[in-house]
Amino acid sequence: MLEKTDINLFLDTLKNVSKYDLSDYSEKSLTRRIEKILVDNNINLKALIFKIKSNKDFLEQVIKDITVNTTDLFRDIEVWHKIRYKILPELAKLNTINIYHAGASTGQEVYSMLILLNELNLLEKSNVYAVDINSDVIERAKKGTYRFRFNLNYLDNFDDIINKNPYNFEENREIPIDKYFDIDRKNDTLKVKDFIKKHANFAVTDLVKSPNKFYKKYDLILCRNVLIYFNQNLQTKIINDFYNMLFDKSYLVLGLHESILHNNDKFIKKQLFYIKN
Amino acid sequence: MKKLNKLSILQSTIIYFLLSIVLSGILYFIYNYNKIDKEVETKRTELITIKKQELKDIISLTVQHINNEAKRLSKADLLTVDDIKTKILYQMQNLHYGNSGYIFICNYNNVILSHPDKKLVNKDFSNIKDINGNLIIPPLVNNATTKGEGYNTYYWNKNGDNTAYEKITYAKNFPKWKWVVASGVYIDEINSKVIAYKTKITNDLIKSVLTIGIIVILLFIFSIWYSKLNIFNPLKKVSIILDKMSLGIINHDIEFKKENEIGLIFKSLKKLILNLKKVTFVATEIGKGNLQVEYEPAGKDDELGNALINMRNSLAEAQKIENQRKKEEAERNWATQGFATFGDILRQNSNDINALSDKIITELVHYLDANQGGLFILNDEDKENISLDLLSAYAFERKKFLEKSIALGEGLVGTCAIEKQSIYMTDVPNDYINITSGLGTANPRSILIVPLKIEDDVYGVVEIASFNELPKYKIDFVEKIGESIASTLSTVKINQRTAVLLEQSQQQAEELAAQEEEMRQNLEEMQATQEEAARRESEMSSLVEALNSSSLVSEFDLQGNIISINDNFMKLFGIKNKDTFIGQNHKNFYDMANDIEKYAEFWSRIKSGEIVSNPRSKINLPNGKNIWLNEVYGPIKDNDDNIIKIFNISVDITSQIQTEKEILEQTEKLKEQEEEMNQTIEEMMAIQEETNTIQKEILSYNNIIDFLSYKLELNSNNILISNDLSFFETIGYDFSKITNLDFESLIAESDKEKYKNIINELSSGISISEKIKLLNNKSEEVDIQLNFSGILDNDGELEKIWIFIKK
Repeated sequence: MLEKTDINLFLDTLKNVSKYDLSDYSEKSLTRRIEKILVDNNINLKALIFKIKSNKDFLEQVIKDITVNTTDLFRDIEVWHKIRYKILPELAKLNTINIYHAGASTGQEVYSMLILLNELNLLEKSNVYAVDINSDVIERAKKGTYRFRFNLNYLDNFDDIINKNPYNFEENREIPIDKYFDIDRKNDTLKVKDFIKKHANFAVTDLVKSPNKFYKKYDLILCRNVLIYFNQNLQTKIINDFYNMLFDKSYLVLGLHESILHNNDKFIKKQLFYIKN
Repeated sequence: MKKLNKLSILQSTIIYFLLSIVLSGILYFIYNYNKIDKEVETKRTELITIKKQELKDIISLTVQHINNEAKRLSKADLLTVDDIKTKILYQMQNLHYGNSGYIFICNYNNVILSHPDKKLVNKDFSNIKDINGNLIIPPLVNNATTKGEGYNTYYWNKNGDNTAYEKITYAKNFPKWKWVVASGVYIDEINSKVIAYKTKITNDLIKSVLTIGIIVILLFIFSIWYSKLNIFNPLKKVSIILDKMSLGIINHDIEFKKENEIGLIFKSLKKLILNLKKVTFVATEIGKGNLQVEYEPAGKDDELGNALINMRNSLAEAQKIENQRKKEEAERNWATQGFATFGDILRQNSNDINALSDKIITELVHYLDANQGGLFILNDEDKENISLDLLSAYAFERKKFLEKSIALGEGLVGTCAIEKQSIYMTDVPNDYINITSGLGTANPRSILIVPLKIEDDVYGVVEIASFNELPKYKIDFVEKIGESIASTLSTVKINQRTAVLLEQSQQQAEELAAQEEEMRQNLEEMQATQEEAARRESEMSSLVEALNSSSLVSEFDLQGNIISINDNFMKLFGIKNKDTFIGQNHKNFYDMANDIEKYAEFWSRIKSGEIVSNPRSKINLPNGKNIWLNEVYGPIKDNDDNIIKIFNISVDITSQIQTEKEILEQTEKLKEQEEEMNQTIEEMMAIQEETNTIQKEILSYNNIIDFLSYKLELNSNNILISNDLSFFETIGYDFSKITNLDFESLIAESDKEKYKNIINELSSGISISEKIKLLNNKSEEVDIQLNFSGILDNDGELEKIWIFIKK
């Protein structure tokens, strides 16, 4: 087991030798991630610290390994139902829609959003921006190619969001998934079509250091399952940043288990999303 | 009658008096008037009697005169009797008396012989009647002749008057000459006399009545004036005073000098007014609130006075009760206001327990007008060691007391918490310093310690010290407010705990979510790894198949004992029974074992984890023959990097050895390959860390196969998909730019059927080794040993085909 002092030592080293400052990351999560890195690389903390000092590539890899990059197409369908039936109809009234995905990971969430925008005929007036700290996942996001067999649940999710309406069971569309994806079963790939892909703007950024990479104001920010890796101070700071980045009465969507505890005057909670107060 | 009631006594007296005077005058008059008629009748009778007497006297005188005259004349002259008669008659005819009195004479034959009215002389009245039809003369004659005299009444005309009047006539018989002498008097003459009399006495009566009346009235007026002056005016004054008194005005100057009945009335009135003034004064004083005013009632029966006294007394009593009530009301108000004040405080500050208790104790000390206060809260976090912690204090050096903690049962505060009863102490002695009040050694006049409890649960203790004594209602108030404070404290405590728990649970939720995400990530990685592993395993098993069919494979333990061998090995070594061979030692067959030094180094290299190759290893077969093998030894490691066995892949190079040239070439090649193999095995070692031991072994085989064989990869449609096309160079083709090559097109016509059968069989995933005739670039048939392996996908369908060709 790693002690707190070990983690601090690691964090201090990291801060000294790189641009990364993870000191406001959740200590428990960090501990587990570092432990996993130690096991995976079969080294001890001392060696790890030595290696990140001496090996830039390794350091970058460690950062990538620390960050968790799970995502799905239309992950948490109840949230996407809210986005589709509660949030986007409101945003549809605007002339342009700016959407920001903070912690885009490998891009499924971004493409989910673009597909939905296209279905609602909002794609042309929407600007979708996405960032992640991990350059690997951003590269993968830009490619928009995913393993097919591994991600068979995407088909169900797609169907649930695009073809069904939980508020009206009579409504039933039959949009095939290959409207948006090229599926290659031989090579086990599922690839986002270009007409969708070209609307996505991806960039690498550290939310802690420069939360608003694109210097825009947004109508909707999605930051899902990012805050859980941060401690309370950092969560508060990020929420505050989002507050400043949002237009009035705009929307913020967090992960299912994330909530705004200390800035609760800035946002009003509406079931699965927040509205800027 | 009503009008009469409105009259004053004076007026009614006057009216009644006048009425009675008039009435008695009238009665008197009537009474006397009736007597007048009687008197007048008497008078009339008396007058008639007198008249009758007068008539009788006159006639008697006349008769005497006639007799005298007759005698005289008869003596003197010789005159005849007739002459004498005529003379006398004549005389009589002119004889009158009084106003109208006359005398007449008639004979017995009712003929008038003498009468002043000459017309009536010699007139026979025998049948002449008066106006009433009565005979006039005959009754006269009758009376005179029969009785000698008599009175008769009839109606007869007066001289010079044709009216008939009632007349009384007296007639006397004069028998000498048979005459009747008579004279009459008219009754109306009597009547007028009577009337005159009557008028006289009537006037006399009226005169006397009027005179007496006037005198009486004068007397009455005087008496009225007198009584008005002496009775009515004072009475009126009394009346006015009483009237005003009835309106409530009692300030009057009354003076009455006479000590008569009116004087007594005034005296009583004066007394009454005096009394009333006294009563008024007393009532005014009472009105002003002076309930101590003295008042002596006039007596036992003085209802007003006694009522006033009673009123004063009951007012005093009521005032006493009212004062008591007001006091209680004030206390109640005080408490009510206090409840409201504290209610607000308790409501408004229910988030921060410290701020709340500060506010409570400050306000409580102020409100109670006390001097010091402390609020202790039950700290039961440590169930073994429950204490009362001073949360807030008022009018103390805070720092000094802030951390003060008192054990249950310790001192008065601790006792209070245990007994759950208020403690109130007065008369705290000046030198009684050792009182453990929790507030140190202050020496207040009174100390109040109240448990903050709901039902029977104590949440804390409040201690108040005051330089004044605390009245009971204040103590009651503190006890009551104690419940509210306790309730709020418990709520705040719970709220704080809830808030902490909420935040904790939120953080836990996030933490769990983070863990879940990480696990998901790990799971995805694991799944990817597993899939990769499964894919590799599938590939590897094919590889192993191919390897087994093309190479010699054997395994040794660290002592060099054979653990396993493959069929090729058995075939080459000429072994019939595998079991008998297994367990034999490496050195029994390998020629290099003869060089002990070198052999030991060989093993030490292998045991250190090195991959060792013996390009030319001479084997002494059990049947005594010698063969040459190109060998590679590699260690198989477990997860802890411990070498558990050693595997050996060998290729029979006996034929190659035959040719020196071949050997040299082979040696050169092998050297290069050795390098590659070392590298490959390095990679394999890395892969080993992620896969299980068996997979790791298989991986090693794969690399070795690559090293020893050409590997061709076909898809299920016989289309060549492998990248390494160097094999084709050996049969003269240059396919580096060719794609979608159908491998079947390279098969010689004679073997095409055989090839198709093989492919069909491969779909069950087996490996087949066959010599097949291939066409080289010059369309010549070349015999080549092809080792086919069918690779199945996850669904068990033939996915691709590997063909290994020994180099």
